[in-house]
Amino acid sequence: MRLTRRFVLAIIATLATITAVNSYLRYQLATSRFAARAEREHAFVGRTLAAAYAALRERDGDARAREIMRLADSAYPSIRVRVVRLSPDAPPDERPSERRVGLLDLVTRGRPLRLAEPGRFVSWFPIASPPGPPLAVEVSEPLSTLRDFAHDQAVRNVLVGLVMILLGSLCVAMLGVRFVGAPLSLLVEKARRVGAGDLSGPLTLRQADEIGDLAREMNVMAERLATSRAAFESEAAMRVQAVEQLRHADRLRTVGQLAAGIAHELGTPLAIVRGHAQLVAAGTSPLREADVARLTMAQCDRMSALVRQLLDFSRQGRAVKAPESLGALAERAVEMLHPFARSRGVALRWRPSAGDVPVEVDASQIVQVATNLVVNAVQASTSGAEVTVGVDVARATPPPDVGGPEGDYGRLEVRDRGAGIAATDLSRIFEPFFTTKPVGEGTGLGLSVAYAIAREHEGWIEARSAPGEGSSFSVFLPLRGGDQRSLAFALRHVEA
Amino acid sequence: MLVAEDDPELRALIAALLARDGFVVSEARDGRELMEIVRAAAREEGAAPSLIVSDVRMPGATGLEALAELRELLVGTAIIVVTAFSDVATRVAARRLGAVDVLSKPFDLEELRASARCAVERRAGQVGP
Repeated sequence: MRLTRRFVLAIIATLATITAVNSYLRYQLATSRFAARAEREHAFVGRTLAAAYAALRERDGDARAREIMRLADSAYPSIRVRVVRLSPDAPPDERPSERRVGLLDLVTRGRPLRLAEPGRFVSWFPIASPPGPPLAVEVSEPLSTLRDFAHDQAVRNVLVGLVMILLGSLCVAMLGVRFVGAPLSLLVEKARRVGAGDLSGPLTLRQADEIGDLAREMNVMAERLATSRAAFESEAAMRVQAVEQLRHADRLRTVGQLAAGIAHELGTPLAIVRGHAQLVAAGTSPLREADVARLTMAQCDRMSALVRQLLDFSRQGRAVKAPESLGALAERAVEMLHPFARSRGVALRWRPSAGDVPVEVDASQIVQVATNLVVNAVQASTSGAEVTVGVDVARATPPPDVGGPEGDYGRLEVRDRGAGIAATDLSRIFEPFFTTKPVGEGTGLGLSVAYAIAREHEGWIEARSAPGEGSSFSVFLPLRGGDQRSLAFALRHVEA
Repeated sequence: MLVAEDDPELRALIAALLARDGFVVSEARDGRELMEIVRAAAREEGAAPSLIVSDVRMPGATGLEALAELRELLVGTAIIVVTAFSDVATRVAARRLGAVDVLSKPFDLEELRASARCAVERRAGQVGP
């Protein structure tokens, strides 16, 4: 509506200017017309009366002539007519109203004179007279007549102007609101809705002008936006569905691997127990019954351990996360495993970070991961070798299956100087039941559980190995509080 | 004959069982050892075992590819495959690759004995006069 207000103001200003100019021009015109009319009338009256005065005086005498002059004077109230004596010795009531020296000489010499004095308009007309003091007819008219006339004109002009302004403003306001203000408000509201993401409800402006065009274009634009948004949404939905299908396929693959692993892992102890039992039943067993029982118990323990690990594997995903220090968790695992490493003659070295590495994790799960990696490293090491465990903040790019931009991550690294892992095996070490360890040392679930835990924490595990030079496993976990903390860490790191 | 099985208990059980039936049994602890023995036997005339009982899933040589290689190296040897993958597809694939029998864990010892005896006899029948 501000636009309409501006239009109205502009119209008022324009009409006011027009009225003022018009009034001024009318005043000018009226003045010049008044002057022309007065001149004409004075000349007519003056000349007529001068001639009449001269003729009457000659025929009927001076008194009769003055009588006529008085009659003429009273005939028209706004115009005064009288006979004046132009000689300097004239009595006061017969002196001309103009007293400037020499000005009336012209009249004395027989020429009419006209003066527009302040407040009045005066003319003198010489009277042809016999020898004696020169006479003239003085016709005077006050300018108040003109002023009254001009005032009336001005008042009428102002009134007309005001009415024009009023009607014009009203008209412009109504038209402005109807054709500009209201549709623009609708357009603004529509644009606001589009901006907020609401593309429904097309504008219905039946205007065959630019605003109508704008509304139609806006509807077309909203329609196109809606179409492309729908396309985008369906594409996104399809992508989500595809990812879900991939995940499902991946899960099925994992389940397949698990089933195969379980079949193999359970098949062997079952075959042993069943075989010995069969021999005992047939009475052909070479072993004593107690030995067969011990052997059966050992195989049962083996199967129990497998079931326990399977439960561990299936329990993943129920992480209870809390703010933790990655260094403290890793150190806990290292301390716990010192006796195990010592029993194998392996030196376990703890390399703490320069600053705190804050993470948001399930403490027991991360300790489990650290334990698993350290146990693997110790098992891969020969007696006298060294296993290093360290924690720091590292810049890394997540692998494609995790996704995400390059950034700072908390890193737990376990490094051994063992035999290393062959390249063909390295790509499979995180698969469930994949193991290179001798029977009894591992089921092949440890690393896949560790990897699943890392993924559950939006992290991942990176394995590097060179045969003969040892292996390094790095667990990458998102830092708590994002980049600011890593910056603080970096600063502390620099200071240290 | 040769028993290839990574589990020592099961390996000992099979070896003892078949030794009692008159087989001269040697053992391989994993796939790698199995292939070493087989390659050595293939080079030497008359050293090929008459029978191999092998697990399919062992460290060193996993899957049925190893079976194909065995088949190529030792044309006359009967092979019995012991597997935990007891689905039909695996059995069919193993037989197609030349296994005379496929046993699923846990298997019946009598079935193993019968299968071993039968395989050797059939082989003797083919090779004999």
